[in-house]
Amino acid sequence: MIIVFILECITTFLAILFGWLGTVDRLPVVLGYDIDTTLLTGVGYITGLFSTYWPLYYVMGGFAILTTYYLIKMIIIAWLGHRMPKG
Amino acid sequence: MREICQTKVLFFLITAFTSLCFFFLPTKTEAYSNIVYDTSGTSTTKYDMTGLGPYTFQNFTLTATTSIYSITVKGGVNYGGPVWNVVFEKNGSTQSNCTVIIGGSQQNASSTGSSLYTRYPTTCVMYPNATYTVKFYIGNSSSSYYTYKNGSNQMYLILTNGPEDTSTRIIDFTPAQGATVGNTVNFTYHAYINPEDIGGVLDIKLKLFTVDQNILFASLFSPSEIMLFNGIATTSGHWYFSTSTILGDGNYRVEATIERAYLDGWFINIYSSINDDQVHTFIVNQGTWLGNLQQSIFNTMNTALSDRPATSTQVMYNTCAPLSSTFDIQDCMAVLFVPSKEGMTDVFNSVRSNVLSHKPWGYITRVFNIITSTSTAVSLPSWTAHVQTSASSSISLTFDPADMIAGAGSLLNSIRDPIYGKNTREIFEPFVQLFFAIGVIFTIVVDLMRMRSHKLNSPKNAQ
Repeated sequence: MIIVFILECITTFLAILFGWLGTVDRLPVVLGYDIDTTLLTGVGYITGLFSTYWPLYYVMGGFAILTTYYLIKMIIIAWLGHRMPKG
Repeated sequence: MREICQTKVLFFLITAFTSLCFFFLPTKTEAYSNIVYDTSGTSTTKYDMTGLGPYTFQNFTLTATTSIYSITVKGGVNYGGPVWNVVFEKNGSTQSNCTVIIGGSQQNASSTGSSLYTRYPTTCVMYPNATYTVKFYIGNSSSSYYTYKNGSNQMYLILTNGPEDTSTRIIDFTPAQGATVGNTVNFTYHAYINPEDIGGVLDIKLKLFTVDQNILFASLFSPSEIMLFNGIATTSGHWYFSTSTILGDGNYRVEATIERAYLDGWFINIYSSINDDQVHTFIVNQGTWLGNLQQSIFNTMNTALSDRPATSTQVMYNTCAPLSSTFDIQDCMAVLFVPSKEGMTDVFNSVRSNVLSHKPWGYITRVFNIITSTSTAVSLPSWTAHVQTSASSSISLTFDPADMIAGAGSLLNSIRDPIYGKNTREIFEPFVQLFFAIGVIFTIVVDLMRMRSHKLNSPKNAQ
């Protein structure tokens, strides 16, 4: 409860601090190229492929878990460095 | 080696001796009676207790209508001093505050005649409208006692209703816990508001979470939470809400809350005894692999935490109130300092909607929203090649991957095995899941072992 309360206080402070900046509802159009629509369509193709060819979903799920693992490992190594516990 | 052999021989002898003891235990000679379970003062349901021997459970289901029941047992078992037990289970877990040891001394039905033994009523606090499994048994794993019938006298287990619960509380909400429903999902919410609690802000909410988008902290960016109802109670009595919506296949959670709040709901009074928060997990048609995994972890954690009085704010109030009979400083500290999943979800949602939606990082959030969105499935594009076959004619060859794959999928799905009626996907999907799960775990374990190997072989360790 107390930790959540502190985090909510920080969130409220950040919301007030950055509240004057505009919100982003969609990605911009650059030189006539609609990035938002293109990305939506591309992701739609991938989603359609996953729903049709279902084993790909598990391939990507496994890939996401492994990527997260290596990301956490990199963060720990960067954070602790030479102070990593010796095995 | 000699000591090991001696230990094995000793173990064998102990096992053999124990087996012989059980073999020569007296066997039951008569085991028949009925158990009468009655919650309203009149006999409504009879349970045949024929064959109820030592440590054999007689189960029946009870949907609690009030929070308090009195338990009375009448009847007899054979002479010798068995213990009668009534255990209440909810979702497979024994309710510690409802474990009632009825017996303690032998009761011989033949000696008590028509005046069957009545144990003093025992109070058991139960959650209204929750479904319990009531397990009645005699003896223990090593005894040989059995139910006994004397003439027309039967064994009775009587559960008497307590006073009606008029506290402000969540009575029920759907979809039910663990339910699998169709794409059109009906949400209902039933609560009771005590008249004395009207006044101030009594916040009632029903929220829907799409679990499949909450993988790997995607909830930080993805709009995974839908508020189905958010209002303030202004009238007392029974309160109902219902709505229906169409949802895609996958894993979901629905959360019902009643909270005492201030300033139009901005601040929750965490010490209010009214606060209640319950979550049901459910699946629309078919859950995804990672979604099922998440739900399983969520349910496991929820079950583990429910053993500690940390998930219910009502119980938390009792835990932290010094004058409460269930005051526990250790649990109170855990509740106060260990952030709850719901609280962290609220923080994430707040960060997402109030901070991360602004420029410049709002662009990253938008990209993440698009990537994690599940409502943008588009058919794969086809590609056509024009081949000039002569000076005046050509043919077109069209490659349509969606048609190819979807067509093959339809064909495979239409073929079912003759015994269980499952198609190719239903048969092979568990194997595919297992294959990738083992692959991922194996990769991580090998990487961790390699890290340790590097440390052991490092020049510093070599010295």
